[in-house]
Amino acid sequence: MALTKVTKHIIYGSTLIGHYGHDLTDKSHGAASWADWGESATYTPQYADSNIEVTCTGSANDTANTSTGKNSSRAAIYINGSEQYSQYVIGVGATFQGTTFYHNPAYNQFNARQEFHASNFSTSLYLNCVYLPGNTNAQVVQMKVYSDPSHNINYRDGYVTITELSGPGHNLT
Amino acid sequence: MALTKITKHIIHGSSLIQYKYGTLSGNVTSATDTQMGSSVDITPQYADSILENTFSGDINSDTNGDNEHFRVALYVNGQKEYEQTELMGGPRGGHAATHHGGNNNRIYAHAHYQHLYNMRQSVGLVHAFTPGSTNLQACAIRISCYENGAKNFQVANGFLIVKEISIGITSLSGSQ
Repeated sequence: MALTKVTKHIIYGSTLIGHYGHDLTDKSHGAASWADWGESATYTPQYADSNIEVTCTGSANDTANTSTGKNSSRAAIYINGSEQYSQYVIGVGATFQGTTFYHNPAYNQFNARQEFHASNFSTSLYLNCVYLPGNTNAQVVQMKVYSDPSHNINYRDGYVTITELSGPGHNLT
Repeated sequence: MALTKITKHIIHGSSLIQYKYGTLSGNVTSATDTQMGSSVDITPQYADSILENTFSGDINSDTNGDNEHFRVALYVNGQKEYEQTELMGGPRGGHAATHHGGNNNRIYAHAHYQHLYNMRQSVGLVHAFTPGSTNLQACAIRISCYENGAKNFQVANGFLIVKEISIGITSLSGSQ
């Protein structure tokens, strides 16, 4: 008689039920709206009490000049169309100080000033989260990005992992 | 007779003993050494287990000036376990308008310094260590300015995961 496989129920602690990872196609985005970064992945939990861990690594590059303000752009993990976790991934502002003007007092000519700009800032990004779906319905995991409208951001080198962690080991102590 | 659960001792390889996680609440603003949200407390079931910590969040500096570099660290039971010390960093640049003169003093001589500010970036850290006991391990994220007290900054959207992993096949060599 073939032996039945050991399941999570007989193991003290937790087990790794399932694991999946995939690359994300590079995305260039410069609008104040959430847009898909790469393809979604659909994972169906084996148990309703499992937790799902999602991680994403990648990089972001801001091609625009700096300007005043926050100029912040974000990345997020969406599950079944809802935001599960998000963070700011890149943003740079510039300012100036000192007496930054030229003028001609004899003729009261207009002031003029030179402002400083820098561009092509880049950073790595890392997002992680764990959540409890509470059922065995399919979980559609989609990375999304949101950009400051004046900044075109290149989101590159994305890689996502999805891991199902069995429930008994959660909050054991 | 109730079956005894299978433990790590009978499993070939490592097993995931337990895990905990938490959102680190708040948008923490500080220049000096400050904890972000609450700690994630876990009590290892075995003294030889490995605790793996992963953290993600973002960092923002909205003040002007140079030396815009900051630290984010993992503390365990009040002791620094791992730290990233050179987050962000801001160049200070500008130019000096040194030419002036003429009858009407057409150009003032002034140095024009400009700074980057409102910089944001993602921050993430991964670390594993062996507590060496079954005492409670309070894992926390702390932040500080590189030059302590020099400049306020914020860390937000923090998420910390802690896993206890049994030590299994010791096929690795080298320092840990």
